[in-house]
Amino acid sequence: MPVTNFVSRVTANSASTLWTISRTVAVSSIHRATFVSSAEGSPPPAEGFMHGVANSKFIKNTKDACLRHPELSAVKDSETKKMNFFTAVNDALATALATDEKAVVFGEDVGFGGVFRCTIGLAEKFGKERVFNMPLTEQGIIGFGIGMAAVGHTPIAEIQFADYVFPAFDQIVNEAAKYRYRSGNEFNVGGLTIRMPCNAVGHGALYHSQSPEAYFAHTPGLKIVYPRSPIQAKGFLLSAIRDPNPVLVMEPKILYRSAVEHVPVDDFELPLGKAEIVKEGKDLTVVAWGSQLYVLELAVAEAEKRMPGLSIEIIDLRSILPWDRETVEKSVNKTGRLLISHEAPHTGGFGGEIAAAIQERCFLKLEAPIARVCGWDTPFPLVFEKFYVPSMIRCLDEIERIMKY
Amino acid sequence: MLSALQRRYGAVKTTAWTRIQRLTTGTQYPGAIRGSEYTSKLEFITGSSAVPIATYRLLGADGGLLSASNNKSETDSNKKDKVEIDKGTLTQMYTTMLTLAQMDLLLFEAQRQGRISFYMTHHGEEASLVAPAAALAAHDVFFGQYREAGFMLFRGFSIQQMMHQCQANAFDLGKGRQMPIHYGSKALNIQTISSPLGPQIPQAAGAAYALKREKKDACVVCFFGDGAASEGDFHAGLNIAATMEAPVIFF
Repeated sequence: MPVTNFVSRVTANSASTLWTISRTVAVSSIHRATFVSSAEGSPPPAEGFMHGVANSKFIKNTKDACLRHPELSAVKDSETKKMNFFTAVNDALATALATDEKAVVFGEDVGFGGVFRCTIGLAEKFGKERVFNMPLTEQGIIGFGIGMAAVGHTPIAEIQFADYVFPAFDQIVNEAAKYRYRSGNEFNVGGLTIRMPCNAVGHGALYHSQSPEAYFAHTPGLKIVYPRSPIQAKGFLLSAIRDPNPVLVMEPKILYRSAVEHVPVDDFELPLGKAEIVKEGKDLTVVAWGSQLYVLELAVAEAEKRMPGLSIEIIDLRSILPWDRETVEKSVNKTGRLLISHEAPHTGGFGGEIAAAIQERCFLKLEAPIARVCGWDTPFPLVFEKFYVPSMIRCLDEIERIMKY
Repeated sequence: MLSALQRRYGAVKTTAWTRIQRLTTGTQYPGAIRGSEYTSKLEFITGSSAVPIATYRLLGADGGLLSASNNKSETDSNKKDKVEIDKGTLTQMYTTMLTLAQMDLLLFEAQRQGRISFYMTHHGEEASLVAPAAALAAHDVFFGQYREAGFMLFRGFSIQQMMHQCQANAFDLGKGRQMPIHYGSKALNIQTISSPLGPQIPQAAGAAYALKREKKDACVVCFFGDGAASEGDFHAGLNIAATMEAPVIFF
């Protein structure tokens, strides 16, 4: 049976694995209700769709809900518009191109609008000299971007899928990240921004589903930001473009269409390097980034229902590099328990860095070992995706274990 | 109608007309100087069927100037190839070449003695480094590999600055962070050298495109060796430079 074969190859370290798998197979009604569309029977769109996002409390469904946020105080009088994730990205790119004459946008297939429509209309509006296609060579694309940034321009490069960033790894890690440091600040490539769609999409398999943040988190000199919503997509992208460091913007592709909310139409930026407490609580801290927030939201709601009185604090880390240690530390000092969840594989995943840093700082306050619910230590499979990802059920399982420790 | 187009569009019309001609005869790719002909005959391409690009050489194996370049009579066609260089520049070029040769002797020895950890000499390449520097302007951007001190010396990067960098002392512009000979200078448009071989090639294409966007009368010169020409970055960089029509000299 394919499921058991898959499981036997998985290097899981707990007996709960098979239990969790069987629970997933049995399928909880909550999971199904939230993740299967009302139009059951029709296939999901090619770009993937995460239904639960529409009902999320993190999504700002009204103009007021959007502008109320303290981080948007600078644009509190702005008009807002309902935008999905890719429209927000498009809006940010258009703003950057309009406000910075030295900004250009390039990548594979961006000219016609991009495979996820992020660059639609930009070539028509700003010209082919500023929004243009690149040959199929990531190392060339990023190298080219580094060169432009080295002479003071603002290149915004797109890697078509995060899974294909690896040919550019040398350029990013050995060149971009080190440009300012190695030259003694004679030169820098702060103007460089690299955007890439990442994370599970429902059918992406090995090479259209990866989350490579951990590889880059290991490289001083870079910044990495992970928006979870259209407001963040616009705000973080504008911050990233204007930040005087090379920044990687990881865009969870399943959110391109799934996440729709009111976004200020004015120019605004959100702070890099700062986490956000999206739900306050006192018994357990859960940390995630990107699309995983919505999975955790469901797991937390179900856990709080099953254990009345339980109150869980959810933190959206938002930036992987630099990451907001202070916010997480303060939260864990309050709650005494920490769960980290990410789609990237367990071993060597960024959750390990958070766990190590927090146990250093909060050891005596911890009531339970720090838990990580992650992708399994295998390549990302196609038909087994629902078992691979840190699903709502696996997160719920882990929350129950921590609370009963 | 053609003459009306000619009057109105000049060069653009020529390109458009050439494109129309090409569409009927061969392939056409962005950045390609010339399309390839179509053929219905399948054959293996062997080494002998392609004409290699000639290798430029002035000196013979014995170090003497080869006769072919000596005996050229002054016709109109090769008169325009002659470059008049004033005596001052010629003297500066020659002095720089000699200085470089002496510096190489001293610093190579220093490296062998363990006084500095790393050094790259330029024996035999003195002229090929000084000439581009003399030909280009101060605002042309330099990307290099590790064997271009001659270029930098001509441009004004002093021996003293080079020694600071090799010694990684407090006066090093690079703040003592890199191994010796990883020179760089913003003032002289010399992009700081890095150890990996090849990444500077697509970077040079990008910098050139930026200069083109600024409509600056400037170009980029990018140095690398035949070894580094096997790197993926070489193929990526040249391809992009061609498709983006970037003003960059790959040396």
